[in-house]
Amino acid sequence: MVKIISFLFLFLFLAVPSLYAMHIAEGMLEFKWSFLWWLVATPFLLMGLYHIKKLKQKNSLYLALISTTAACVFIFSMLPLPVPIAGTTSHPTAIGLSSLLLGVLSTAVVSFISLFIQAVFLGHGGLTTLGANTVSMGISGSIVALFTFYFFKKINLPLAVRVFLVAFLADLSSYLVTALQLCLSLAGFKALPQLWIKFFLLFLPIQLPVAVLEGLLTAGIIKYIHTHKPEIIAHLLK
Amino acid sequence: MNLIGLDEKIGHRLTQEYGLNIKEAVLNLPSEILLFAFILLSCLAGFILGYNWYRIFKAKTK
Repeated sequence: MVKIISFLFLFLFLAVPSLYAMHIAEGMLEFKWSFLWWLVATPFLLMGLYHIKKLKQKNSLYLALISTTAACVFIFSMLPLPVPIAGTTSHPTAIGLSSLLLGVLSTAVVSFISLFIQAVFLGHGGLTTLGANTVSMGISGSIVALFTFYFFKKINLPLAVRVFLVAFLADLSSYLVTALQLCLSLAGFKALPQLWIKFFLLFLPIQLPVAVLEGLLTAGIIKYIHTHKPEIIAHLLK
Repeated sequence: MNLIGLDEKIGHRLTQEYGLNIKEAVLNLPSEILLFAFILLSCLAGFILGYNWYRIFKAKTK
């Protein structure tokens, strides 16, 4: 099974031989909007750094957990998954997984670092749009993820189903906010709701299968952690 | 197969539709360097992931 999956991934990379820009690219947002999204992201990042520093002192394995999750976010968010019918590629975000393991503030920092490296070295996203990309992927995605998790916990859904929905909706919410960012920059507040929906509907059919895949994968990872090291997700099981 | 990333495809389409000129990237590295960085960083991320996964799930249970 592992061999088959490895072969499929290898095939995807060989079949798609060049690099594909992901996230909102440099210059796609007007300067004032890029600046505003940086302003929105900054407090989350500062609080996130403080939060990580505090938790690192309390728990010796926290650094290992945050490194693992950061690597996951980095790899997932630059993985070009081909969506054959649409003739394009899209990427998962791993924000659902990160939010469940680390929470909103640490996820904001983790996604910022991943997006920064991608912007500087890989040509995915950009430095001026880094704030906007952090808000859409790291911050809004993780807020939606945690809200979804606790909402579905109240109606007693099984853990695996809850995690699937968390990752699925966190992934889609990133694109909902990306659509809002593009909409505000390109058309301002004029006809905002209609254009926002129109822009999101352009992303939706392509991102939907990727979000389902991410949901299944995240549910599998959380299930594995639940079986082998449940103390990592003790806060989710309370 | 030549597929364009979703964000770029939709983003470019919309920015052209609304008449916004996309500015050059602040840091515009040649594609060979990008490919090199892509492979190097993927390997590094894989190593970090594997090593810390081991630390979390295996090291203490032995």
